[in-house]
Amino acid sequence: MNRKGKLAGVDPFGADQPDEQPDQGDDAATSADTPKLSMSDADAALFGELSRREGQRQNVRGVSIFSIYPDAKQPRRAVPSDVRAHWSGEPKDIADLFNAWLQHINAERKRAGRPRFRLDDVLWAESVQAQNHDEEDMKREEVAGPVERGFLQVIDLAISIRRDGLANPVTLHRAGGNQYRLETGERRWLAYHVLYGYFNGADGKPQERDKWENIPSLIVEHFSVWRQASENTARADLNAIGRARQFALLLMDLLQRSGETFRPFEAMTRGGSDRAYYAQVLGYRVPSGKSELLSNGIGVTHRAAFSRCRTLLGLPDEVWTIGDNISLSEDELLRLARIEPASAAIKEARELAQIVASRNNFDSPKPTKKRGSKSPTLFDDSALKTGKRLFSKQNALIAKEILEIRDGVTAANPATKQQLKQAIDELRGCLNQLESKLGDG
Amino acid sequence: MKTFTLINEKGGVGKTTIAIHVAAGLAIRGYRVVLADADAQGHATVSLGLKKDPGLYDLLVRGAPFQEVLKPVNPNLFASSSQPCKGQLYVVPSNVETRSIPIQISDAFAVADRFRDLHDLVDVVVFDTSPTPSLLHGSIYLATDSIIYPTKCEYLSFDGLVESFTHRDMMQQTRKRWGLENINVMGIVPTMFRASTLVHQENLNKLKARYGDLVWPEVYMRTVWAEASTVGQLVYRFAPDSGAARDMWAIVDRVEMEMGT
Repeated sequence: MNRKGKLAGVDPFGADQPDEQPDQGDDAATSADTPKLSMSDADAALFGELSRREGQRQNVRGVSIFSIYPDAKQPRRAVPSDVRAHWSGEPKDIADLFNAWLQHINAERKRAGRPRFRLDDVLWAESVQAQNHDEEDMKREEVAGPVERGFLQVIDLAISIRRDGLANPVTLHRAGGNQYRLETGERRWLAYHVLYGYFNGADGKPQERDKWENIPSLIVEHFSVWRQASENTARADLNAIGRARQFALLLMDLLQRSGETFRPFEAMTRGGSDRAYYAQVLGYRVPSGKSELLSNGIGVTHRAAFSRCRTLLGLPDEVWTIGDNISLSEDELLRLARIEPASAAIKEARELAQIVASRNNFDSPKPTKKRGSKSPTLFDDSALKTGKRLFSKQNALIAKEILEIRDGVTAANPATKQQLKQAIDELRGCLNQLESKLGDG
Repeated sequence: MKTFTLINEKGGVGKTTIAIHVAAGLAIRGYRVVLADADAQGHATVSLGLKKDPGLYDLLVRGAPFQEVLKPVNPNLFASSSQPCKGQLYVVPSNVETRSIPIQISDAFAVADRFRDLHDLVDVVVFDTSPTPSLLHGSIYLATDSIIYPTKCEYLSFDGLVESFTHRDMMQQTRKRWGLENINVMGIVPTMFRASTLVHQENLNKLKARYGDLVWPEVYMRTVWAEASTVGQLVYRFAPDSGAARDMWAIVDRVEMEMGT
């Protein structure tokens, strides 16, 4: 047997290597505006997923607020969805978002008969101090409607960041090029935009743009819905819709690991509602052995919460959106979910939205006649007739707010006091009536 | 500016030797050449008579300007009066610090971004890489236009070659996603070739059967390579009329041809 014969049978390349017909590249690669990619992503692309490492580098660095995009899927909505609808989604157009937000706030204030919102009053301490404190400032949080309250949370954060600095960096995930996607920290990011936009050196305000253009950020290698969830549950509670979103996102993540695919967020939002995207999980069970992981992720103690989340995911789109915007309680939403047909549930949800929008009208300079006895305020008879609604968590919240403003009551002007007294009498009457009915039964 | 990289995931196949001789050969012919040593061994650096000074690490991690890290190579090491250096040759040196570049930077486009600054200043950038796959490789695959694969005509070198081709293919998708052209296979250089060895001949035939015109002329195993290396010179200078120099000029010809200049 000659050696040549032996060698001829050996294919040093192995059998299954495809033929190489490489393209003729040029140097466009270096002249193009090259986007960005992380080292370990590149490594995983080159040598396969096995070499992928979870990010160990935890370097905080400043990232331009204009290269950061919010995560549309984030269960917690810092910006009401009908405000967000006015924004292109590009950070450079963020002013549109704030303008729309202020417009909504002013519309809300108009409905409640309150004066227009002035950013100077809340944001710029120097200018606030220069003015006389009126009760408007004292209890601005208490009387604010839901849209305004969300905005004030951002403003308060901005004030605290300006005073004490940012305690927690935001976490970002590289989205390509110089663009990043927010994993956590949407409010902090918005607060930086507020500071950047407001302290621009105009009208005697300090010029601090350099300070607020870059936000301290932690760049994470891999976007994790679980990390996002743990921050969501560690901070203030998600509202019921937020929790349903969180449930759906985490379940999607679990299912995707076992090969399921879901249609992308962008393709599934319609008419301002994103419900359909999250509702994609409705046909799936929680993978076995994962329910504890999931209940920890959404911050509930019992898996019964899952089926409640599923019920909410099946709400009509509009009820879903209203429920998120005015943070309806889970009980309230479950009640709406039971109402047939859907149009009736939508009608009720709209009514609830109206109640919330018009309830803070104590200081209304001239209570309009239109809002007379027919108005669906807390103290209105028609509201009482749907007795259950009066005592829902939603109204417990309102009652709590009334209690909270009691400190401000002594300072209120006589007309307000008169109105309050009237309202309390009315409520007392309602309660007496109800009590007597209960006695009869 | 053209960029190309010497890659084979098998050590000792002549990547560094081919890299420095191609870089120096192009410099002699009038190109402005930067040789970036991306191997923590720093052997391209040392072979060109330089110290393992701060180089690639400083460029990428500390953001040092190119003036600080580009070291000119003394033409007396590679050019001669009969073949003077008409261009320039610079080295971005490497040392053991190179191995920690990937844990200090997170941006895979760092290499591409930095070297793009040289766009108008140099004609050719040559990357010499380590045989062991490292995190830095991903960055280099994103920074290079073309690859030259040196390989011995032996089984393990072919294995390294095949691995390297596979990884190039894997990277193409990522490059495409980021709007980059495919990496061009410039050529395959059979190195340390011994015509008298049957297995080399057989394997060279297999290489040619598979890759056809991509296989460039063989660079033969010759004593003069070791001698030149010992005195710290390149074969163009040490033995301009030797077979080794002739082999290398044939390779430089192919590089020039492939660069389209």
